[in-house]
Amino acid sequence: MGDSSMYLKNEKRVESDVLIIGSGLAGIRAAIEAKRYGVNVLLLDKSVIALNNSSAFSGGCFKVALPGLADAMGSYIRIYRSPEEHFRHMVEYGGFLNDQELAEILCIEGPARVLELQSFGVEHWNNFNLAVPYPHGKGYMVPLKEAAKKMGIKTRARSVVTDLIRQNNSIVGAVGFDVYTGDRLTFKAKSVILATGGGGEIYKRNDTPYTITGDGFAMAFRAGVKLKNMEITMFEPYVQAEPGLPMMDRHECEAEFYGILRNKEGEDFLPRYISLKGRPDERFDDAYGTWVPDIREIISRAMAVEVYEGRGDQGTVLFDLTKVPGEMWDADLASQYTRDVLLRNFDIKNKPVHVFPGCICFLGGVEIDPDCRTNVDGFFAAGEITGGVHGGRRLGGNALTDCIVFGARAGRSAARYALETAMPDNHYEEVKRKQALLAEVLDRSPDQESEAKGLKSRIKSLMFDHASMLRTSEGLEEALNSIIQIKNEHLPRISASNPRELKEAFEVINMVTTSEMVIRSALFRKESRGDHYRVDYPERDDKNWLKSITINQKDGNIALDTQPLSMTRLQPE
Amino acid sequence: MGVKITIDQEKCTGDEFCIDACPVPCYRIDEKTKKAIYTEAEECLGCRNCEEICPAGAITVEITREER
Repeated sequence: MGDSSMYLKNEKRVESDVLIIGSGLAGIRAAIEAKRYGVNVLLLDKSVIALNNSSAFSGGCFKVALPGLADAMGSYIRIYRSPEEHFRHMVEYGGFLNDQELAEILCIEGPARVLELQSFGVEHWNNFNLAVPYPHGKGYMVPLKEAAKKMGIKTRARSVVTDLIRQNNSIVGAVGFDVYTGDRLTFKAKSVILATGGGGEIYKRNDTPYTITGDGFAMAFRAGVKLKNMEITMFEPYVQAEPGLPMMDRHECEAEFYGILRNKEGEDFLPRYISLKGRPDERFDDAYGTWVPDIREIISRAMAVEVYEGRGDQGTVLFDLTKVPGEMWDADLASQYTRDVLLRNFDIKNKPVHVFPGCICFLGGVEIDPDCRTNVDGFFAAGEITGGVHGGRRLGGNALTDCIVFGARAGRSAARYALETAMPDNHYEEVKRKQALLAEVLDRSPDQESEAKGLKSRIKSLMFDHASMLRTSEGLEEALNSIIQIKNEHLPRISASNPRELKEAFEVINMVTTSEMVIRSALFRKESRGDHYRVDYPERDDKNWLKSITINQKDGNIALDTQPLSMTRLQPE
Repeated sequence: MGVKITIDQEKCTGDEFCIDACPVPCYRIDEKTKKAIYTEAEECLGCRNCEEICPAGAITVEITREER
């Protein structure tokens, strides 16, 4: 048993004009923009500032239209010639599930925000040549962290936020604790920005840091914030599945463009799922007429089908690089670093490596308007926590562009809101109610069956088995029953004996809510669109499903509904 | 092994920053010595977050290479 009097004794009360939860790319960019308006900004993170989030561990490429560079870069629309070309590709690619107003803003403002990165000291925003070897995201996260520091932005690491504080129709702060000291933390602010990222950790296989537990989705839901598109979760195909090697996505190093996916029979199975434009042994781009990040869901699904139909090797497939021409291995020296680190001494030149998909990001989340406002006053959101920008599937590189475009917009909106708003009155009654749960969890007697670590791994397995690349109504129902059982029987008994365990307990609570939102939305959408694939409804059904699935909280429960899409410009043919 | 981590036990203050900086996570605190221990070596991504964050400068990350 823990002891709440031992850890939650001290309370730290902190006030700021703008409070930002999450210090990934969207959060840090929002902080910089808000600070430009002369307001007092506090940037929080439950781990460390800027370095332990999906942005820092991303591939490091921003997708934008830059005409000059498009020609220099050459093939396969990695860089667009115009924002219009980018917009059309994005919406068609997203299966028209995008909020087109938001998509258009991303395409038009993306180039300016990318170029602006240089003024923060970012040298490599376009990491195709792996100039920042690994983790690529440090190429911009480190300079942005320094820029924020120089501007006088206050930061607080190791601050776990457990709930938002709502007064009437406004969010006026947050409550949580310090994961090292165990102090209670109470934040009061004129406006709050949620930038906590996605929820890759709800899946057994993912390539996101362990911090990405869906906290923001669950906190927003509890505070009555509207969410949408939660059924859309995206899977990166080439995530290592080799015993003894880290579960991380293989990087598109020069040599790896020539790798071939094989099932246990040794068959190069991808051409059965994607039509070949060239010869199968050519560079991937030439063979398929597209690049991997733009067809990730097709490759991931193909791998899952191979395993499902019994052609998998130890539940995974093989990535064969043994036929790669020797000189290719030396074509880019930087990629040697990733091979050293991620492959250890695995002899990839002579032996295929096991790979299988893992969750890379969420495309659903908090509904925002073009100014990153939500349905609750004083509450803004940006980055992966939001839903609607990318629709049903996301182009590779658009996630980072999303973070800087909407991060800046959220920072501006929240700062302006703060400038027009008085500091909220005493909100400590609501704070006390929320903090009571922290003490309760610490004071509970341990129950072995309700241990956070065990529950986490149960959730991760059942979500990956039933609510990932291939979804059926039976599988989703089974997953839902298990999640409800965990929610009703185990969450009320979850306990912690120190602040670090308390953090894990709240992560489990948030993972359960996030998982339930994903499953219920996935069951509701009886069609396949983008990354949401229903084996029992394999076709896209524009007649019945050209709409968003929304989530509101009703008496603590998930209330699903549909709403028309904002198709301001493009319609499916 | 491609990544070698060394923790200087003299310098380590047990402030747990390595635990928070690690994306996997690979670190825990030894209950007896109250100093950091590196575990889960197989999962280490070699990102150097721990080395960069440690206020005491107690952690060294080396990326080793075996030519073949």
